[in-house]
Amino acid sequence: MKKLPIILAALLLLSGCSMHTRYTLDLKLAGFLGELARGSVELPAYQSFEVYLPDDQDGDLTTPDPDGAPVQIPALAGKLERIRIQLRATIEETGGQPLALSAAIYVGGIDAADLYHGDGVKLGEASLRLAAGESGTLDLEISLQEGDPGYDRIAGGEFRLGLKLSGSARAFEYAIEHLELRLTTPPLGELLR
Amino acid sequence: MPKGSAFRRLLGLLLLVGLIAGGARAQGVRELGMGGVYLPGLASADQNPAFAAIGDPYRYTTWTLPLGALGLFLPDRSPLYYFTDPEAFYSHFDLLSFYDQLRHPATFLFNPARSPEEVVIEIAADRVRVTDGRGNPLRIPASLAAPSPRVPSLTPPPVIKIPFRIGSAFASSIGLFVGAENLSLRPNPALAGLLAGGALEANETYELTARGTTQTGLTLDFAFALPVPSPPEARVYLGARGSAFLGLARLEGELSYRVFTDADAKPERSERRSRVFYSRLGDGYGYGARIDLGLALVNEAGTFGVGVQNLVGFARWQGTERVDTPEGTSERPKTLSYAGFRPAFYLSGAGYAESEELGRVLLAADLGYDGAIYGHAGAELSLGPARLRAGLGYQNGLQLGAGVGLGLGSLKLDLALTGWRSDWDGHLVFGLTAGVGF
Repeated sequence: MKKLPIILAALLLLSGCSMHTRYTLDLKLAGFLGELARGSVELPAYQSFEVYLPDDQDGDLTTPDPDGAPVQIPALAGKLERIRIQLRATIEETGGQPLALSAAIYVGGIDAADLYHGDGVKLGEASLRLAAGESGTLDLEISLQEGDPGYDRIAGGEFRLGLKLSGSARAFEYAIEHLELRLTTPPLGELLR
Repeated sequence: MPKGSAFRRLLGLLLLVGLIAGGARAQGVRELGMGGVYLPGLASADQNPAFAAIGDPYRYTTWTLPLGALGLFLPDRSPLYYFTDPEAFYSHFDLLSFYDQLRHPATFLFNPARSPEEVVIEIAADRVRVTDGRGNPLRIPASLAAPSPRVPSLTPPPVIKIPFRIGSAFASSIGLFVGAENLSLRPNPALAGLLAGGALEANETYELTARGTTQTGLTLDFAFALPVPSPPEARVYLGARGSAFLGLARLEGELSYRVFTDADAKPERSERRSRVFYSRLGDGYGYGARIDLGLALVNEAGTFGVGVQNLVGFARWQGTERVDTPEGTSERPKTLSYAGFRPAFYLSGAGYAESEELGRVLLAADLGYDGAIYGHAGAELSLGPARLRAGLGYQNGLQLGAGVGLGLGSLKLDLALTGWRSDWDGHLVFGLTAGVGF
């Protein structure tokens, strides 16, 4: 971010260097996903499934792509007090069958190859059931503090983040409306102490 | 820039003193309690030379105590705690509160400007926003983003002034001025829109520019004030002053940082540019002169005046300009000149009103322009040994004042409670100023 120096200079000048001020980096990630923010899954029959996002753009969401997406914010390494992740997605059943779906967010190390089977930890999960042809909204909010699983990974500043959709369905469409990663530092006084 | 670090230290000191002293005219506790009103009299002779002839019709002198120094005992605004109690410093110190208190050395601030509890940097694919924890965009104070340019050949008010009279009508003075002015931190419209939550635009330039001037020098004034033919039951005085200054040092700086976006609205490259003009006696020089005029009218109703500073004037500074750009650095001699008709106006009036219910009330008001309009109105009610004061004004924002004066034998004690809207976060700041007299 080449404009970061401007933001930081403005921050210091505008907010002052108060020892009680916490700084929060609020990354609205949905807009960065582009075409990956929406897609459809079509299965040969009503069956159980697992889909990993972001996909590797091979055009087939059902082929496994379990390494998630890398996130690198080294400036915040080890300096976080709170971590919050919010996900809101709309799901539409399109296969004429009932749908049962769970969405889980996983985090792992920057070198993780399979977040969902050993290399990562699950941060939180939400589920949704839809009748044939129905659509609904899936909301997932995760708050992490020191000691919670996955906290150290994110607070380390370099990690991989992934979303697993799983359940039973024939076909459905999804659209990620909102995906936010909010990282809050302790008060400046604690950072400088 | 000259190699001598002593010169750099001097400029640093100048900037610091200037930032604290600003360009504002100091007011007494009585005036602050009356909403900041400037009373006709010798104290206002800088604005209206004719007031030198009327003496001090509303004389009431107390010495202002440096109550602002009490702030040094509070950990939220005293950096001294870094040395004496680091735990308190790291828990409570607020640079903005410190700066606010430093700007008001005579006033103890009950609730100085305070940094937000949280600063949120929101980065989305199409926008960057900096807000406080409640979602309000952080803003650059209006006085910084769009300061009123002061009339260039008006030097800051002297911090030290030695007056002497020549005969009954003529007066002269030598003064030392130090001040910073025209300080600004200004985003260009594109950046202002971005900081307020707008989206990054394609092929756009986002620019933040900081500017400021600080200067010091000596002033030499010659003034006269004489009675002139007057209407019945009134006395009219005409005053004029020639004021010259010799500049000891001046620093003018402008620093801008630009970020350019490409056709896809992505930040493409950035650059920094700076321009510094510096001058000091020996390697450069500064001088100037101006003429001020004033009229004062005294009648049964009170004292009234109109003053014009810098009716005509000029200022000239010879120094060196250093320009740093991505293309390279250049340094060359440069002369800054300002001349012509750039006046500052000042109207004021005061008078006593007698009332059977209230007793004697002093009413006063002023209205002026010195790059920006200001005005005040206030009243003082005398009740035996006590004086009750109140007033309001507008000078870089709304000002409120309420005060009390007590005569205790030969001792005079003044207190003024003042309030103004903080330029930083918009909250109403209250302060207490005190004075004693004998």
